[in-house]
Amino acid sequence: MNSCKHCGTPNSPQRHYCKNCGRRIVAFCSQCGFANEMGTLFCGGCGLKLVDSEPRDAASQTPKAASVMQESASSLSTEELSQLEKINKHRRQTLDVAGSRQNLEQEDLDKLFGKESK
Amino acid sequence: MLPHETKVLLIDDSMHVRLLVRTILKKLGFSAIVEASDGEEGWRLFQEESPNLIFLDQIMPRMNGVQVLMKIREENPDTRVIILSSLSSAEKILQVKEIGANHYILKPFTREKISDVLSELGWQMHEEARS
Repeated sequence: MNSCKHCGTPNSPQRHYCKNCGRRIVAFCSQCGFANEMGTLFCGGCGLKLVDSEPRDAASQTPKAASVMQESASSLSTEELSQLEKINKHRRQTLDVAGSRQNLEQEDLDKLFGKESK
Repeated sequence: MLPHETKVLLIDDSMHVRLLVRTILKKLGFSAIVEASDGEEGWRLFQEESPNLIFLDQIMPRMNGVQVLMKIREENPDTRVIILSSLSSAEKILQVKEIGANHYILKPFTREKISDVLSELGWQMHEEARS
């Protein structure tokens, strides 16, 4: 689930634009076209540092780059979906353990990283 | 427990923490231990030494633990990384878990905690090898 950084609405991993406000919720890598979550520091497809790069619109790219990006944006691969599911799992586990607390104890960390989290 | 021939890299800017972890590891039977006093040196040693296990501090000069972890994960998803930190914020912990930390030990820590976590990682590796 990708949450919109603008309005906070949870969106399915397949979406590139928020279902509530229409803002872009993924950042395309300028090198390989991989659709990364907004705020991602390094591209999940090629490892390019994304910190200073703005999300790019496929239509504004050269024809070749645009076709690469549209192709990669058209569907998420099994690996990408698996990665998103893994991130969601981490978040759920942390929320389960932390509840409303801001700080965790060692016991919480053992649960998060231990056998039961695998 | 992880095999004693496991090559360990300690990355922490505190000499006292490095000394403590090294002493504990030696008592647990590990002998191949290299050390770095900041993130940049840690990253360099990671590339040169190819360690199997890394103890990684979060707050360090030149390159922090999150930056080092990201680079390590890009290079090698299999190296075991244990975060050693006094940061207990759920947000920070979730961040390193998402990047791929294998465990997280809060400072101050005990010899028993290090031993328990190494046993846990050994168990996980065993399970992964079976599946």
